[in-house]
Amino acid sequence: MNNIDIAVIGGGINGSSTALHLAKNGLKVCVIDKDSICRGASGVNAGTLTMHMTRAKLIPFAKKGWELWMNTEKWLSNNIDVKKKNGLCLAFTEEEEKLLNERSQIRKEYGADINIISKSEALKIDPNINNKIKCAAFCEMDGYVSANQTGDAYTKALKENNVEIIENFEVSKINNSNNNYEIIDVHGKKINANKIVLAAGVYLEKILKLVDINIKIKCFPQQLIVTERMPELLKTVITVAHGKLSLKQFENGTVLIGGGWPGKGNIENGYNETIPENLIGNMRLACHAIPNLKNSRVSRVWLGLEAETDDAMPIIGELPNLKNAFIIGSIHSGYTSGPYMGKLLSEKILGNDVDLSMFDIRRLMN
Amino acid sequence: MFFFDIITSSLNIKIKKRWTLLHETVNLRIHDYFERGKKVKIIVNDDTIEAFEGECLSVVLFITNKKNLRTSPKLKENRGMFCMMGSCQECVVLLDGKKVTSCNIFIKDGMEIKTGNLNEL
Amino acid sequence: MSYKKEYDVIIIGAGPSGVKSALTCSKKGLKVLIIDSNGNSGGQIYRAPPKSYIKKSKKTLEENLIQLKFSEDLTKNNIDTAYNHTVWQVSPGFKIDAFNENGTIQWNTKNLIVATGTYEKIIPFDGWTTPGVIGLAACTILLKAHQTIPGNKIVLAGNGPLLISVAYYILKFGGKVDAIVDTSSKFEWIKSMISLIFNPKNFIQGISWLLKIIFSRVPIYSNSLINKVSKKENGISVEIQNIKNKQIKELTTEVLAVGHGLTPSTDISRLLKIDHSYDDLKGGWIPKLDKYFKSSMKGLYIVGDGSGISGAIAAEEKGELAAYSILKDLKLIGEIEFENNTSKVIKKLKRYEIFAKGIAKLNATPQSLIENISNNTVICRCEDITKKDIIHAVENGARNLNQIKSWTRFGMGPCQGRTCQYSVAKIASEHLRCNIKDLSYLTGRTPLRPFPLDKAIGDYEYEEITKVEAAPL
Repeated sequence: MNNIDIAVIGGGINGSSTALHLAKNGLKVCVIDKDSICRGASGVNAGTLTMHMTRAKLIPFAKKGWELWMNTEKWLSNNIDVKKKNGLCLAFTEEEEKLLNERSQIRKEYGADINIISKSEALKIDPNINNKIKCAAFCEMDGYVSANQTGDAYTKALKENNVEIIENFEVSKINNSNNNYEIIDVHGKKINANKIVLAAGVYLEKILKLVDINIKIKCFPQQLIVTERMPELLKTVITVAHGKLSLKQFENGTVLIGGGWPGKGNIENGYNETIPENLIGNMRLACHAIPNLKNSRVSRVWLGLEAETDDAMPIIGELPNLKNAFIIGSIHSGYTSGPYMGKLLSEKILGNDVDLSMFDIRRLMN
Repeated sequence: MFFFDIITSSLNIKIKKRWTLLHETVNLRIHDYFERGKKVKIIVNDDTIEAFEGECLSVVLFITNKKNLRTSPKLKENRGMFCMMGSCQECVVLLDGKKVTSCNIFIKDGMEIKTGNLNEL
Repeated sequence: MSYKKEYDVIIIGAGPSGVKSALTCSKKGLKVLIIDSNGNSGGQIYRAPPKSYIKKSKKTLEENLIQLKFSEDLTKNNIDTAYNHTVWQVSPGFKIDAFNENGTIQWNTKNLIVATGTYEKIIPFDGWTTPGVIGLAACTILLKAHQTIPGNKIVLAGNGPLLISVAYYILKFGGKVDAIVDTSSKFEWIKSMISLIFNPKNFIQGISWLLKIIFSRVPIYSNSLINKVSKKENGISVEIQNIKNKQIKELTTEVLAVGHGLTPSTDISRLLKIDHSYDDLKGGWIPKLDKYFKSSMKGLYIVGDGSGISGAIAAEEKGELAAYSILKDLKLIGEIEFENNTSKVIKKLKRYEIFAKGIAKLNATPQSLIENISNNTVICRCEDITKKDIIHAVENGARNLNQIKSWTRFGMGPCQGRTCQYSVAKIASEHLRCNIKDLSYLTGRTPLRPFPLDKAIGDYEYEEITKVEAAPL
């Protein structure tokens, strides 16, 4: 492989989006992944595109990400199911009502068009929700993507833009000399590039060590539950005030229950295990929000790993003390904003004026 | 006249059996070893049917020629009982509104069963 | 969810191997629980009639007698039973989560014996999804447990001795067998008869069954398979094809019962992520175990046909060996007693294995069945995925079952690939001309069976659920 301008290490949504935009701007790019691309969190997350669960400070970015998702024909070619839906965030107790009002207000201040509506208004929008709610927050800018199609969709788009995809390449060494990076895998295979982007998701802590940067990145195994195909059980994307539920129904009738309930996992050996009590808790919350969900059966459960920094904010931008090295990752609700964050970073790499100061990695370094 | 009586009376018996004892299926059920349970009424797709308590629902539907239990998602094919081990999920019906594998369900008085395109009923 | 106390040993599956394990463990005073999703012990092979069936006469089927003895012995030995409980998750350590009609329950143990048996292997053919087509094992269950013939006219198809057994019982109970369609040739049958001699009782039984079938003038089509089934107004049309000369015979019947052998149930062993090896004669993927059926995971044993197909009698021996191994580990029996008991059982098991191997050769999946699958045949019944879809994924680069699943959605329905995984692997390895074991197997997932949400949630107070920290703002 010759004359690679930029090697993106990690082909999840962040890395692949960065690579795509760089390639569209004429750079010779390759994406490296230890598995197939988008098989980590990007391929197994709930695919929710919502403002209700997005961290307030990241709302402006999530909004731009949402716009991109609603127009995938412009940048991702096609072949991924994206649905725009209304989003309802529910409150069942007085305490939750208070929380919902506070949080929705803050999210609104950051630019999300979220409004508090009454129980009867919410029931008109979606008659399937539990009529015991106190109130709900409503946002039109909501919806979902079928996340399992992410890999396929990005593979096509990257190939169309002449991006080289190198899968099953587990990076074990990164050498830097003469304005050139040498990336070596566990079997000794080498790739040379002028610039690198570290986009390795939950493996970022490990990869950063290869360039002598030590920061802690927490890894949270999260459980996802999907039912068998059912008749229409909900019209909207449902979340709840304290953020521990996401509910959506796909075109094929299956209902996906998420919300970040933890399972057990170990990124060292790839082991993961579900925690039954947490599955039941998640299911209870889901059936509390949509009572008719009780008529269905759970088909399968899986786990995904989410990466988070100590202050739960993303890391995007240049790597300090290194030339031509960049990083992107640990973005909460990263699936929604990933396509936009990747675009931002690619702009930065191309030399355009982009302010990524709030995501600077130096804030986490001693 | 004599033959006519025999014919009509036997026809009458058949018709009566179809409405009330649809489930009798004398010629399929083996009677040598076990008694059948008590007679109860179940509702299958809004038809009230007499059935025997405790018998397996998917088997009862199968041998009374109600073999189409559900519809496949893309090809819209009729599907029915297949493995009898609770594994294949082809015998799923709606029992009192909930999806169940009928091979694991035993007849109880008053059960309401729906078969067909379960996601569009 | 209700939490029950810890048991010394928990056994999942109350078939012959599970019951034998339970009885052996209980002899040294261990607290044992045996769980089964059916309403009684016996497993599939000795499946009990529904509870409402009341014994009428002294006449009885041998299988029902064996099952009754199991139940009696379990009660006599104070073994706790949890019937009508479906296990939905097994966590290492072990936690066993199950549901029944009242809700969910969790048990704990340090010693887990998995005796969940097998599934029937049915290689797809055109029209195999037509209602009226059932498994051969399903037909056996209808006859022996539910005391019914599946229809007035039946065609039996597949391979192996089960065909003869089922035909015999249908005839015995007054039904009509329109045809027996066997992929093996008559010569293959005679070859395997030689290994049957190692088990004289079965051998004599086999001969008597065959004689009844011959005297009832049931048409037997050897070296033949089912090419196609389609629905007719008065039943189903079955096309029987001769494998050699491709000639087709069509007949209309009411029910087709078809089965191509058994494959071990590896749901729990895959979920617990232990190693498996591939052995087609033993039914496909089997867990890696030592000679006492202990796995590489501490305290986990897998017995019966789930460890590899060897038959019901061998299953009991396997259960016994696992139980002795547990007793030794718990220091309830010494080395000498352990050696004495297990060497006897191992000897018996070796004999049964020879018999099993002969049967296995008859149950081996003939290549002709795979080649006969047409492009539009549905392979994954839950999601309507056809052979064409599988080939498409493989041609686009999918190189293992998990990848094919991700790209086609096969195995994502409620049966989680139990019905079709074997066939998908055969089709893909055929197309890629690769060894079937290179495709690996589907990752095991919770729940082990579709988990009804109404049972899952049970009764709860809303405040209980929300004892979780709110997500960060």
